[in-house]
Formats: sequence, structure tokens, C-alpha cells
Amino acid sequence: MNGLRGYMHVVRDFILREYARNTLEATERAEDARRRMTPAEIITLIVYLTALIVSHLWLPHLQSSAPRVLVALLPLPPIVLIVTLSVRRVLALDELQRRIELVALSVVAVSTWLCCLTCWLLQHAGMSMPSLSLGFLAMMALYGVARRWAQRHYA
Amino acid sequence: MNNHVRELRGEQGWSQADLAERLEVSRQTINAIETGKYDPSLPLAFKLAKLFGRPIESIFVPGKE
Repeated sequence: MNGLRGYMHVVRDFILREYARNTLEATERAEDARRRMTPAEIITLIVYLTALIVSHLWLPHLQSSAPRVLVALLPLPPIVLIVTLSVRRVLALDELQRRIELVALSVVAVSTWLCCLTCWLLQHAGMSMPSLSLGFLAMMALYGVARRWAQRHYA
Repeated sequence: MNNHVRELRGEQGWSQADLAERLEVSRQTINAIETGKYDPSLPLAFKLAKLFGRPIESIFVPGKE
């Protein structure tokens, strides 16, 4: 009888432990999902990349200045929208998550400033620089790395 | 800054997720506070004090400078 009771305890403990583990993992998954980009941000990013390509391909075929300016600034509205959506998402996070996002943004801001300064100095020395259109993608990648680093710091 | 959040949470029988839910923060925030990696803001410290029914200075203790 005691053996059966002991076995029941082991089974009960196992079920409770598994339930607690699953609940914790589900909470963590929900938190991760909240931190990740929203569908609206992803769609806006795709629109931005499309506008960037269209602008890049269309620009050489335009001669007059007004349409050239309009087409050159085509990627700007989606970028403004991405920034607005990102700020809204960050403000909805809790204080530690907000700090992590701000640390990542600070790393990106300082790195971008250093890259711009380096490019400007090298350009001044007569060296040709790669297109700045890839800068945004590099910033996104750096932001991801910096956020991961900040998250590990507080983990 | 040291704190007694882990002990007080244990006394209540709450998990980190339970406390996070009560304080409307993430579980990572609770973990970072308990491990001393993150000092909460004053509003969150007051929320913790109110939840545990203790004064702030009995939960958060200044560490060695």
C-alpha cells in the first residue's frame, strides 16, 4: 500500500513539475513575442525596402528636379512609420525591457555616428565609400545584436 | 543595492511569474531584481512594498559602496 502511495506521489510531483515548467515556458514565449517586431512593423519594413528599390531603379530615368526629389524621398514615409510604430511598442513595454531597448538604441546611435564620421574622413581623403542605402539594414542587424547583449546582461 | 524580494516572494508562495503578473512587469524584470542585476524604479519599488505590506527600506537595503 505504501509502495502504491509513494508511486502516486512521484506521478503527482512529475505532473505538477511538468505543468509548472510548461506554464513558465508559455509565459516566456508570450514575453518574447511581445518584444519582437509586430506584423505592422514587418509590413512597413517590406514597404520601405520596396520603396528603396523602386527609388533606386527609377531615379536614373528622371530628368527634371521636382520628380527626382519626390522619387528620392519615396522611402522616407515608411521609415517615419517604422520609427513611430517602434516607439509605440517600446513605450508599451515594462521598465526593464524599455531599458534594454534604450541600451540597444544607444549602441546603434553611437556606432552609426562613428561610421558616418569614419566615412566622412575617408571621403575627405579621396576614398570612395559604399552606398549609404545599406546603412539601415546594417543598423537593424546591429540593433538586434545590441539588444541580445543587453538582454543577456540582465538575465 | 541588495533586496529581500526573493525571500518575501517565497513566504507568499508565489512564483516569479505570479509576482510579475501582480506587478504588471515581465518575469525577466523580477528575476533581474532578485539577482541584484537591476534596481527597480521608485514607482515599482513602492508597488512591491505595497504588495508585501512592508516599508520600502525593509525590502531594499543599500549595498556596500
